[in-house]
Amino acid sequence: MATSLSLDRRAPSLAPPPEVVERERRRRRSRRRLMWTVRVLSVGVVLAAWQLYGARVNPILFAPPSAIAQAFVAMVRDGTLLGALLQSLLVLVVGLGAAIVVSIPAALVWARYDPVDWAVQHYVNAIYATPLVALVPLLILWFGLGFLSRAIIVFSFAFFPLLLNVYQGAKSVDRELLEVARSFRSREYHVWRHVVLPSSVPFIMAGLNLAAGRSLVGLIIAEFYTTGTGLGYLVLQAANTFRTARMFVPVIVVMVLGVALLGLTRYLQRKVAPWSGPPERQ
Amino acid sequence: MTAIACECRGVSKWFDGLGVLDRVDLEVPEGAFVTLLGPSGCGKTTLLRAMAGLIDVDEGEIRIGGRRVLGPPEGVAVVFQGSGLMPWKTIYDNVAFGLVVAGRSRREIVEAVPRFLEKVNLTGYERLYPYQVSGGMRQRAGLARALAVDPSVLLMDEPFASVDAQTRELLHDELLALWERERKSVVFVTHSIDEAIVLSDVVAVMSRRPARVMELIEIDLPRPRRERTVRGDPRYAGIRERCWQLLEEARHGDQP
Repeated sequence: MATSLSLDRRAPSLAPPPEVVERERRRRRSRRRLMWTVRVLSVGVVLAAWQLYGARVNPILFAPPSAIAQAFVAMVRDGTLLGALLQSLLVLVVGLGAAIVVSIPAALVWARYDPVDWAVQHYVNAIYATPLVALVPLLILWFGLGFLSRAIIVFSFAFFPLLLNVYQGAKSVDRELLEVARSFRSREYHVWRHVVLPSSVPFIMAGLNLAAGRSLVGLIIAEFYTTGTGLGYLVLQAANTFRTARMFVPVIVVMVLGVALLGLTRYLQRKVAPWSGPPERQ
Repeated sequence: MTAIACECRGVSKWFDGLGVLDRVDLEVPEGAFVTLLGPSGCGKTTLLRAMAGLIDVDEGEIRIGGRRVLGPPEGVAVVFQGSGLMPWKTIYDNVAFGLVVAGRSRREIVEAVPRFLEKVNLTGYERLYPYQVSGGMRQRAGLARALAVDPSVLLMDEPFASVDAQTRELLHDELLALWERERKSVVFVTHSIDEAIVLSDVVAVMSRRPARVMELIEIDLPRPRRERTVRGDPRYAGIRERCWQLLEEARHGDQP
């Protein structure tokens, strides 16, 4: 006798039952708690070790966190830290900003027009291969010891990573998408607006990320070489007078600045290019 | 005599000295669904791209609507193999793309896009990005984008090659229903015999490269068609066998 398998005709259950939701939520909460515990512990252990070791070493060579915190408070009170920070930020904003404004259109034009590519490729490669630090004295010779010189040094540190990233982005535009645009008889403006520019955005963001880090390096070097302003000078001054705790303060501020800049560029990337989001689905 | 939507006369094309198209002659009557069927890599996509004005031919000429093709022609829209959706645009903006670059007014676009989204059953998905929808939906969106500019000739390059079998069958039925209502001239490239028979009025079987049209097979199965009814038709097996034989010949290089 033939048997037929009976079909399951129950109505589909749509929402998970409350106890399943609750269990899932509890699991997530306890995982988050564990994560924060580990993080706080990790910071605590390092700080404690640093404190213990730092307090036993010659204060000229090293400083424990407590001394750095004291120096920090002192430097905030007498205004040196804030003043230096503002001076540095101004240089950073002008140098990095100019690099962004110039490099992105330059790279797009460079990538899209072969004659431009043939004309400038070797120069860009040569300059990019040169350690820029080696050119800093020359830049100072040309532009002096003031603000302009510092901004130009930051600019040149940030410019090339941006330029090359955006160039790569514009070069790696999906050929099928260019054909789509052509097949709809797009004018060059539309090709730029709808294909080349948006497809370069993730590369622009990656370039920004790199440039943010590089511009901080440029900033500190510029402030080492030029006359007494900014966080870089604070480091130099403290080092020259063997006040090691005071030296750590601007270093940590620069570190925080760097982390903040990287966070900002990552945030921007998610905002501006949501499609480049979950990479496994690309 | 019906008007000719698209005609190729003695079209040849070489890539790096290698012949891809060999004096291809083909006529696509207005309102007909013509499929280019051939072994993989035989040059059928090249022929389609030449019709779309995306590549130049080395010899012969292609005319669409009576005018020689010397670049992407007016009144032609292409559906691409990989859907060709822009990942940074929502489904809505992708479908609107052709209208935007054609400089249509905002009002026209706002009126047209939902209509074409509905035609391909994508209503409700317009705010999603391509990576958020399935491959079948992406292909539907690519089709809607092409239809939205109201082309007189639709060129489709293996549009369903990368979707799963069930979705493909569904998309075939949707395309059949759509085409039977609108009667656009279509040139459709595929390497699937079944797909060619189910969809087309005429199947142009192409030889291996350098490709030429070996034979035109008229598919006189009744319309309206649906995939399952076509496959159930007693003539189906015979047509399929004929296509198989021709493709076998093409593979072995024997000229018919």
